[in-house]
Amino acid sequence: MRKLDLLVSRSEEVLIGVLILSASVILFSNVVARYAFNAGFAWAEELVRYQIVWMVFLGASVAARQGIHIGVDLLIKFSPPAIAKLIDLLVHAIAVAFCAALVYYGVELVAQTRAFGQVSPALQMPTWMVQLAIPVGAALMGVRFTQQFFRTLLGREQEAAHLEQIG
Amino acid sequence: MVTTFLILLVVLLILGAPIFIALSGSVMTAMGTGSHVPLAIVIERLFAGLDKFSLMAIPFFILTGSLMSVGGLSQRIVHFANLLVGRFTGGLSITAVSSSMFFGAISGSSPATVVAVGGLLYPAMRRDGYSGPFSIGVIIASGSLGIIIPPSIVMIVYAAVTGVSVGALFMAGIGAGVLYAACFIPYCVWRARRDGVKPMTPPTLRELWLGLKDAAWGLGVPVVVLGGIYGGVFTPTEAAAVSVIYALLVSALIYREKTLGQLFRTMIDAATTTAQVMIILAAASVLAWFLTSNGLAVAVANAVLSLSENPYHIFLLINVTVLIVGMFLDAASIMVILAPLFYTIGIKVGIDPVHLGAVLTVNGAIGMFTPPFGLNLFVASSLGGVSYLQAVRGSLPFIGIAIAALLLLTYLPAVSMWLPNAVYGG
Amino acid sequence: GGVAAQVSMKFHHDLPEDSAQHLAAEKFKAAVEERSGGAIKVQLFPNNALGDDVEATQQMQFGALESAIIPTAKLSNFVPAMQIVDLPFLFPSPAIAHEVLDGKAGDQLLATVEKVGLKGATFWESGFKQFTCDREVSGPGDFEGRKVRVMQSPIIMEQFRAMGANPVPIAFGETYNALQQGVVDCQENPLVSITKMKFYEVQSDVVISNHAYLAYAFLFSKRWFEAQSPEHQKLLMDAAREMTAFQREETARREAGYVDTIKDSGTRVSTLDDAQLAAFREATAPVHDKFAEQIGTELMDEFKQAIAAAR
Ligand code: NA
Ligand code: NA
Repeated sequence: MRKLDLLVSRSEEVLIGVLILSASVILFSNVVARYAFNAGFAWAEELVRYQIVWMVFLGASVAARQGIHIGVDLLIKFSPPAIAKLIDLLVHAIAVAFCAALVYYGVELVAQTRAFGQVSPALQMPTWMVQLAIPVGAALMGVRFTQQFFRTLLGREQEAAHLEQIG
Repeated sequence: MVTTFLILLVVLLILGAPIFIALSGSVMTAMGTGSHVPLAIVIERLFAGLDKFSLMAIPFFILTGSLMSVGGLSQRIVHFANLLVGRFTGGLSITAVSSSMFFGAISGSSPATVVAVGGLLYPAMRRDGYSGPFSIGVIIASGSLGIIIPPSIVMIVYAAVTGVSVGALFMAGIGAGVLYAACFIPYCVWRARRDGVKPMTPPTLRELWLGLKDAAWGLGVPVVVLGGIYGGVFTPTEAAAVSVIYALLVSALIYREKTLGQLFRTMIDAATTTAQVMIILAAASVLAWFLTSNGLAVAVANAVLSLSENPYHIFLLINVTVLIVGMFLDAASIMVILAPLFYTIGIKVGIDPVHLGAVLTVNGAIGMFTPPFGLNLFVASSLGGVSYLQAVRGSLPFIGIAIAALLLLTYLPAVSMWLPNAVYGG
Repeated sequence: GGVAAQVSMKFHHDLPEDSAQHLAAEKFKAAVEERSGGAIKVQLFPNNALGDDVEATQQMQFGALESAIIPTAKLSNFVPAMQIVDLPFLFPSPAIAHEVLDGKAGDQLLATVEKVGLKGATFWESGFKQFTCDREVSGPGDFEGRKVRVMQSPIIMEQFRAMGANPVPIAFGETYNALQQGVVDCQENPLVSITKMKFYEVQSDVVISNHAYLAYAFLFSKRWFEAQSPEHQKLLMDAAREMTAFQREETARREAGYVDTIKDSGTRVSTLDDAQLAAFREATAPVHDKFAEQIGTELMDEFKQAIAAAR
């Protein structure tokens, strides 16, 4: 279980790193191709958009694991420990429920888009493949929020928040 | 339905739920219980809210800032800024302001600027005898320059939701940023006098030259970005991607302080940061659809226009609204939710959309450090030995000054508009 | 007390309030609200307020949006057949375009959207498209090696490739700056967009080529439409179709003024003569063959016959 958890988080991290790097390289090459050789790639913009959409929803799961989603956590900070713990549990329960709803309606939308056969203009790629990022990202995020819910419930240490990364 | 939504939103925000959940979760619940709109719309909006090419500049500008910072740029910029202004009364605090400007020209984000500049300057200022609250205050406040000086994530979002030219907005940001920074300086001088802090000895010309040479690669980013956009080589989003490659090359080949593995780690972190920011933007577009489809946006616009058609009054109303909302929400989300509304109102009363964008950006920048919710405040409390309350106390005088700067910018359009007008034609 | 069952329907379009389409939409709204005795309330959402055209189409598919007018090129990713309207030099004149689209061929085309969750009513328009460029254009060879801004549509990109140009997809809102700063050299649009978006300010030449037609399909969400009573369904269809003539007249009326605005600004306006048009038609003819299969050869034949009959 622990190993699987580590494998998933490593894969998520490597994937989002690769997505952001390759997206920059693609756009850079497109500029060079267009400027120097007068021949850009019509699909570059579209592919980059789809890469970033996937990156955001996978990255949201990474952020959930690190507990760094942006929120106004002042109430928790200034409450007595017992109440803070209750609020923390409540927030994580809400987050899990919300992710479940995203998965449910996400699958519904993906299935419908797939059935209607919508494709992207440049790559002629099925649109559902991009929309799939939402239910997948939400499912992964939901797992993270569930883990944190039980961590709080059982009084285990939360992983340190990396506020300096927030931008 | 709207009442349900408002109550839920406020409760979720106070409880400290992630903002993207507070925004889209409250809409989802309100629509699910009070309307027949299929809830797949929430998913469609989360997706469509992100799937915009102009928004793709955001990850790239975030990554450029991180790469430059990790690659060793921050020290060089702070060092160079100190060589420039350290000799004057209030030296180090003015260094904080000016290095935030330089760093802001590389990074598209405000908290990133606080971390890059504050990490180095806060300990130095304390050593030199500046008071704690003032030291942290000046860093937090000037950090907000990160979103005023181009490139700016917030301006990119404004452009994406209104269709205004990103290039013109960036140009407006230069004048706005310079004025904003200039307003802080007299206060810095006055505080240094009062606290009896001595300026440093002036550097020699040679030291200045070496410092400039050292920082020049970093300062090349804005040249690449603005030069490329204005020179017709690439679009703003492409400019951001080009700046990533540039920063990568500078860090890997010239500064060479970090291994390739460390640089890849930076990419993962930048991607995570992007996710934190952009998932809120996605959620804000869920809210924007909810408000628009229920006719609330039009109702509010009409209500505002019925109060006055005088652009000065309208502008004041807009500013007060954004200042209040800015206490709770971050600048980029405010842009998604409110900018389309203000844009419509502004056009009707003859406000220039580029000027409006500049003013909203500066106002959003102030929101970055107004309590209770301000990312810069939180980020600053991660710097050694500063609590959230100290950060708030230190920021208060700067909030006053920043609001004065905002009013100047609002009612003297020329300050922000001369450059875009000169470049793009009035 | 008995609350009258009131249905509220949203209507999307991508143009400003000062457009022939919006005026026609207002007339549609008035007609529907009056004829239904207030049972159907229509809310207009201009300027992509609820999302862009592709997003609005998706919203109609799952029933979050009730109706919209969508440019046919934007629909091509849902139903490839819709691209037929975008073929270069398909319609010889506005009158013929109207006759064909209002006839059997048009009905057949509108029926293709049913299988993707939409219900087609009629075709509105922005008129014919013209070229604009940063230098004079008199033949297809003048596009050789030039960068041309296009909307993200395979058929339109192919049209420019056929002339040896390099099509660059750029968002509509970024087009002015891309032209001004020389990221691209040329573009195509109906006169209404060339004028309203001020593209003529940053181009030396506007070339009246009438090379392709920009139609908007008037659509309903099928899921929503079929949930309405038969009387209301008929009422909605009739109201949409009745506004079509007005919408097209309004487009034509406005176009005359646009040419004057462009000429007054000092931008050159030239009209292609028959020989020049023939050269363009010949250069872009392969596009018709290339997309015939995607569009459906049966539909192609139907359209070509209808056009020949209307001549
Ligand atoms: Na910046
Ligand atoms: Na704030």
